[in-house]
Amino acid sequence: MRYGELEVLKGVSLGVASGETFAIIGPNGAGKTTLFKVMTGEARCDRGSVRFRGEDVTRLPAFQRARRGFGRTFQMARVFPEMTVMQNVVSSLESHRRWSGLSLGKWYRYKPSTEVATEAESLLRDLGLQDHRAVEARFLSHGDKKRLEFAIVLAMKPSVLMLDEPTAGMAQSDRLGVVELIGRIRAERGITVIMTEHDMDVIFGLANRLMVLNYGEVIASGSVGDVRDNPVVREVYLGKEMVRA
Amino acid sequence: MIARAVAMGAGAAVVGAAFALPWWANPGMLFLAGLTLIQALFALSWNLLFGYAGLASFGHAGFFAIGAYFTGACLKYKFGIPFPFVLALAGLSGAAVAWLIGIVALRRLAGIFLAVLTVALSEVLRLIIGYTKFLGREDGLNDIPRPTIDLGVVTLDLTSSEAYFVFLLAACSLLTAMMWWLVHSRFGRTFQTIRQDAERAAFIGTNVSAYRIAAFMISGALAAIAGGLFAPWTRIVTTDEVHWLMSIQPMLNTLLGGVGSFWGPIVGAMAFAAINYGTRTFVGLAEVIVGGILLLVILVAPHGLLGLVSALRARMVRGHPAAARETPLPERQR
Repeated sequence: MRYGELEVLKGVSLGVASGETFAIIGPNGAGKTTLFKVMTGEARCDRGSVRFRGEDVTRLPAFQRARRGFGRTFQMARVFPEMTVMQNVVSSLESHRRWSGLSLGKWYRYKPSTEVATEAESLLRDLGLQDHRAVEARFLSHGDKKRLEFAIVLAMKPSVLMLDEPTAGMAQSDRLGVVELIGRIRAERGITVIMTEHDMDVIFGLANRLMVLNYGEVIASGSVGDVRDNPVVREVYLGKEMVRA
Repeated sequence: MIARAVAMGAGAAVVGAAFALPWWANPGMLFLAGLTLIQALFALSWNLLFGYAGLASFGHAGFFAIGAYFTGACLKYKFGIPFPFVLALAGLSGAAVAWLIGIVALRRLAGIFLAVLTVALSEVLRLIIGYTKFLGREDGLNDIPRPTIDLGVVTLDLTSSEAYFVFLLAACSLLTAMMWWLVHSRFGRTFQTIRQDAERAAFIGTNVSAYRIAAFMISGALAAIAGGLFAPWTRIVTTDEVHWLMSIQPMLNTLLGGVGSFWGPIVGAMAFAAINYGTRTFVGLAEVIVGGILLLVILVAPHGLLGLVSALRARMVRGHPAAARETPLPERQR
């Protein structure tokens, strides 16, 4: 993968098993986000391929990968700011449902079906957003926006959840809440999680396996214990204090 | 609920008064009212693109001119096509041209290319018209006859200003109702998700470029139909209809009324017409006064007249100045 003359990913290869939580870590500029974008379809690699459940999805755009089960969150929560919390979730639920007419019966204002509304209510309850259902998303706190983003993604019923620094910019209390939320989603729904993160407490608390990138190259991969004890990783990224902790 | 009832009552009163206009207004005022209806429809088409799908067209007059010249030519040269079909074909022509531009500008490229290509469209059309004898070159098409519509059992004679105005009002009302239904449907909600965050929309499985092209086609079709209704009303179509000033008019109407609010372009077109009418006697000063009023509205009410009404209502209802600050956007869901 290249940006002009700069080769940002060099021979990176990874495989993630169903139900696994896989983390990609590395210093700033290591290529984590680019690798993420290649997997989600936001960027195209000039060599190599991306396979999902045996299917080659390398040439598929992001929206088609999303329809196949890729759910994506961003460093700064991306929601629909001028819609209410409920409308955000309803929009996501409807996006993968077949059209059932153009609501001629209620022609002056479209309302979601009872099935969609019930499912949206259930998701909001599950994520603790039920009291905010009528609030426009732009007025939510950062932590609540993050929860809403999770609700939007979960409404798509993804089989792979791709989390780009899920606790970035959060206070400690919100951070613990998000870690608990990811753990619960994984346990209850059996979703595969692929994440990038700088906070090692989050990584060590959630990941089964991880991979370390530096200048676009894989310098280590394996179980949390293996990577933590790797001297190269300690030198390049973790530092001695982090390892002692 | 009360505010909604008041708004619906006021709307019904305005439409009722407009239908009665041919019986009490003088010819000059009737002509201006007809132009306002056409401008409102034209601005609605632009607002669908900008306020709902988040795309900007700076050469929307190109679509207006396609409809105006097509309809003008069909009527002037007596092609024998029933008028409703002429309007439908004008709309289809606008949609087809929008599709051609859209597949170039919207499939992969950012929205700025759409703005550039629409300006190019209007300039190319102006040049083509300027060299085409059939379209009257720089002089345009004049003496365009107003149509009659044969419905089998009855023939609608629209040759008088009064009759054509009633037809114009009915057509604009019907098209406005269709647009209202469209933007409040699931389709319209998808447009809004794309405008608010296209990347997030893609990650809930929305084919963003296909929806953007669809929005552009609908907008182009509506602008062309507005042009189609314009030709028999003024009975003359010139290259002024494809001039960049014509492209600016729907933007001004929308900004004045309220971007993103469904009724904003209509309110803006009416307010603009009222300002123009009120300043028509100030020879040489009219443009300065109109410009000054527009500047004042943008400074005082950046979300247009409807945004100002929403903010004032919120302040009155909740009784606190902060309430007005918390409602800065026209309420798109209404």
